[in-house]
Amino acid sequence: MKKLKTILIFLVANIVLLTADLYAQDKTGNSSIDNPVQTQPNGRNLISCSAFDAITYNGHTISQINATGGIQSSVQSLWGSYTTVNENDTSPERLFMFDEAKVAFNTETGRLTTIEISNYHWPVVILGKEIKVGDQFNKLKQEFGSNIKIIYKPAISDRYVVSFNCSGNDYDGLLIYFNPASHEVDEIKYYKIP
Amino acid sequence: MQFGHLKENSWPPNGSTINVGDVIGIQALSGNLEAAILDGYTNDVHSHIIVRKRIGPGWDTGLDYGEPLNPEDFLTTKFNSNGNPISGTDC
Repeated sequence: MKKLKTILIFLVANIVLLTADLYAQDKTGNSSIDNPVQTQPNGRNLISCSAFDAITYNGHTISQINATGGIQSSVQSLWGSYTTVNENDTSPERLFMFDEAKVAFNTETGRLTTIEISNYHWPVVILGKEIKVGDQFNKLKQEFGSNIKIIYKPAISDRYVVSFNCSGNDYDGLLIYFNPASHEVDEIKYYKIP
Repeated sequence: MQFGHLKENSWPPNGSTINVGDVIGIQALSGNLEAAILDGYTNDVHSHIIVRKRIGPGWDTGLDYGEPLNPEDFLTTKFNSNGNPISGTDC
């Protein structure tokens, strides 16, 4: 009986160790997750301006989105029905809310100012590579190279980001925000400086 | 008068009377400020001050936001680059 009890304890201990080992593996099968804040170089990832302009946000480039002028019917023709549309009563902004994203236009210029994507249903395609909310940081390393740069400014945000931009561009950018605990994309943001 | 990049709902309700010393908003990273700092376009946490003169029915149409005016004309207390009031400009 004592021997049986010993064997039982041994089996349980092994199951616990095996479970812990599996838990430690990330979704790409790597046995450890390096913390990108400690391992990756710092800075923006510069691509050609034609490649930057070709980035698609749920299927559409910035120039295609700007071509809507922020008009409701035109925006709907791009991405289907939005949940709500609001106009700020003190500033010229029209904000479209989708289940998975927010899209804002300046109503005086008709130009896009912000896209905030919070759901994997809205992928972005950068250099032909699809990235979406929920992807692991290691996927970006595989797609864009192991030396992909990150930006981490804890005084500003507890999340680290991967920034894509092109040389000489000083008015807009694409940021991919990562959850620092899970190392998963938790938001993708296009922004334009007024 | 509009202040940009403030904390959501940190300002008094529309129609409020403002007195000297009242808090009229709390600085935050709203709008695209956080992204701009992360991306290195600016290092400064800042607020935009926008003043427009209301014209026409405006404001609720989403089309008419009024003529832009120089905010400095409405600020009687000036501050230096260190954030200290400049002597003789107090309101």
